[in-house]
Amino acid sequence: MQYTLQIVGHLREIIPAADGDITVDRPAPETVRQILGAAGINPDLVMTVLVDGERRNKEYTPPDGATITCLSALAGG
Amino acid sequence: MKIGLNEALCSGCRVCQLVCSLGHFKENNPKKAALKITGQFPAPGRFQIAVCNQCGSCAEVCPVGAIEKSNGVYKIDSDKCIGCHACVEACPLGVMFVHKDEKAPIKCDLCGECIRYCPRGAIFDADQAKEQEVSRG
Amino acid sequence: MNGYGGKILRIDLSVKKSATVPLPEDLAKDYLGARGVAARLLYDEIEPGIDPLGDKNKIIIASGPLSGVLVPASGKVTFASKSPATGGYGDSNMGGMVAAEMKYAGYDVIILEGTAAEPSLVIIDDDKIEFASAAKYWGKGAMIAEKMLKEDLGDDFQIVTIGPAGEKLVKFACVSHDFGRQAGRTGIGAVLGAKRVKAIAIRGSGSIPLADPDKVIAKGKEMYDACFTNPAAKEWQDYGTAGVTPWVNEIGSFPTKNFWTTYFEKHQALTGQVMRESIVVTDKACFGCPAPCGKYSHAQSDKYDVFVEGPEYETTALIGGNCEMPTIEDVAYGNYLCDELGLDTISGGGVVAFALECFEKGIIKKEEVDGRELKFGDIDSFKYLVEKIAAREGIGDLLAEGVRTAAARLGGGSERFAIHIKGLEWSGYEARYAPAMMLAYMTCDVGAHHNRAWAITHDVAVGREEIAGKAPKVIELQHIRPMFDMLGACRLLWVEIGFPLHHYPEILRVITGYDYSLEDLLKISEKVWNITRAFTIREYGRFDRKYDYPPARFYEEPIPTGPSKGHYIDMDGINALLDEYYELRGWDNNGIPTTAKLRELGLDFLIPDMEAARGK
Repeated sequence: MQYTLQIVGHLREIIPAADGDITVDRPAPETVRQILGAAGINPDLVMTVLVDGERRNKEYTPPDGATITCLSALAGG
Repeated sequence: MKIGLNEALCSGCRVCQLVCSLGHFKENNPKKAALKITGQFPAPGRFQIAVCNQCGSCAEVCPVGAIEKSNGVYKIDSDKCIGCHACVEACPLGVMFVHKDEKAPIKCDLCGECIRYCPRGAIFDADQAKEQEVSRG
Repeated sequence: MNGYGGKILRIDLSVKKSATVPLPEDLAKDYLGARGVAARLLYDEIEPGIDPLGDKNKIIIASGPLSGVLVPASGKVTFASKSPATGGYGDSNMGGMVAAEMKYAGYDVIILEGTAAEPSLVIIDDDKIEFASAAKYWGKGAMIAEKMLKEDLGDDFQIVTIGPAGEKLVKFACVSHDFGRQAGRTGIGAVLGAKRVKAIAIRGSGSIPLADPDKVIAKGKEMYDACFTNPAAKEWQDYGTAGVTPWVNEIGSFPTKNFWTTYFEKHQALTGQVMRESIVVTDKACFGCPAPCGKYSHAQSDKYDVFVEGPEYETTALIGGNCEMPTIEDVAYGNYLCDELGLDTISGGGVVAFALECFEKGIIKKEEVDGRELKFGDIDSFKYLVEKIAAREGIGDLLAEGVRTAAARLGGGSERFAIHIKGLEWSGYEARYAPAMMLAYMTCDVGAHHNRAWAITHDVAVGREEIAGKAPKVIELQHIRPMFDMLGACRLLWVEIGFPLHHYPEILRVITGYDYSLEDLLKISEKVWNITRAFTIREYGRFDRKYDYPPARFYEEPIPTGPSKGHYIDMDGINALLDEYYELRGWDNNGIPTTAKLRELGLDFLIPDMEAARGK
């Protein structure tokens, strides 16, 4: 299974990644939360997840080849 | 190009007015724009966009023939204009704008900048698309 | 002067006279505009020790060099004054259309002085300044009055109003504008009320001069295009700040039941998604903003049918979680009540929650509230209390003073759960398990507000248990965020969608001709930080770190429930946070800027006052 993690906004400061994209290889399907963990990303820092453009929660299992866009917490003002 | 409006998407940001005045007068002054945004608040809580639809009523009443149609667009020749404002009164949409620093009224010439920079897709090219489903971004 | 309206308008309400002077070039170059200019003028012009609600206080209304120009989110204006809530420096910035309109009229700064003899309107129409009677509008709600004034004066006037709460000098009365925007915090609505100004109406027909118009057009358009293609922009626009409600609950930092705990069981009913589905009518923008966060809503139930801009996150936190309101409609109605009465929803939610806890504990008795059974989660209790407060009737007269004074008078141990710092009620992030955020609140220059430093993600990223090492991030944010407040633009594009900071010195250069790097701008921000701190120190006279301390609930009570259960920051931790911060800031052990630091920053004019404070 291969996923592309797209890191957007202030999350990029915390998670250094080339052009905001990280490729993650996993042996079997996993939830977004697990994929984030495998990539060394604290899921608590990710507020919103889009999988192939659709809003999902962190317990969702993306299909192989999915682009997972991670938005950091909106700062609330 | 034809201006289409989806007023439900208008946020009242006035970016359209800024690009319009900068484009035509090179001045940062929304009061010199050729379109107007009006809010209906507190109820029903929406914005209205008033912009020229090139109906030609202005040209019909101009006593000196200063308003002429070219490629579907009515434009004012400011050298011929005598500032009588007959066109302002005749305009059915109230979109011939008067500014104290300009002799000739300000009128949309269909340059398309508002379409290009409306962040919401509230102003769009009706020839290209029926209506934009979602706002830009 | 390129980028500026060009003038300071000084209005003497006592004699109904006004005068304009050119905006001094040095003032603009050294302090940029808005908050920066306002802070310097306030320090110079306010006599220490005056009554904030008296004749000698002033209100400075200031826009910035980016305001009203082709720049994304260029609609922020600052209101600054000596705060009736804290007795120290107060400012609040506001979106909408005023920042732009006052510059088109030719004014970068409007200063209100003195006191009008009767309720008044100030009407500013380019260079024509008029004073008129506000008798017809006095007593009316803030938005009703705005509607009436738009009908009476013309829809193209931009109107700023106070509500009945400001007229009654409620310490947390706000300034209102554009049917849903406020300068909410620090009680500036009460200062306007004390001056008997019901409304200010502004209309301007001029152009803002630009150093390089072609480059402004190109750079401005580049900035808008960057916003259009930002992948976070849609999510941000869909929900505005309300989008953060679920996350703050998940991490256990949501103000709940007067900050007793930090997770609200009913929060899923209050999310941005629920809001959008049930009540939102229009996405409403401030001037020039491509990503409107305003969620203009229609809230209906069998008890009410109202239109309101909101609720945004803070209101959801302070009326929703903090007062345990169960539905988004009830939160929206609570928002509407505060907006029309002209009350800050943050302080309003905090004061009501405080009163409800006092009632639960028998510190406020039934006889004092007309025999009512006041409850958390009850919109009727909320309505009763805010209406009493706005009218200064019964218990409302005490609560109108804010939680610090109310607790001092009520006693019964209520001071432990009067959730404020320096007299300003706490905003929407509970910080017992977020030391950087706790430090941000303690050191905010206007009191317990998150606007200067939102550091909670930093705590989550580097460790929520860690006390040491938190100060640098807080200080960095305290320079970046107020930079926007000096430029007259909204920080939320950077904050919410990561819009790059480098754009701002670039656009400033082509608008004004000022060749500042980002570091230069942040340095100005650091200077202003020390000025506003010094203003408060000078007012308090004898200053020590206890003024920065949070309430006892936060350093004595572990969080009782939810994801952050068991956590709190004890006094050792509080002091350690402040020790590191003061040291890095170049302030002494009491949080007073040192002479060496002031010299380094070129703030020599502050040295005598700070040495005097140190000596006391």
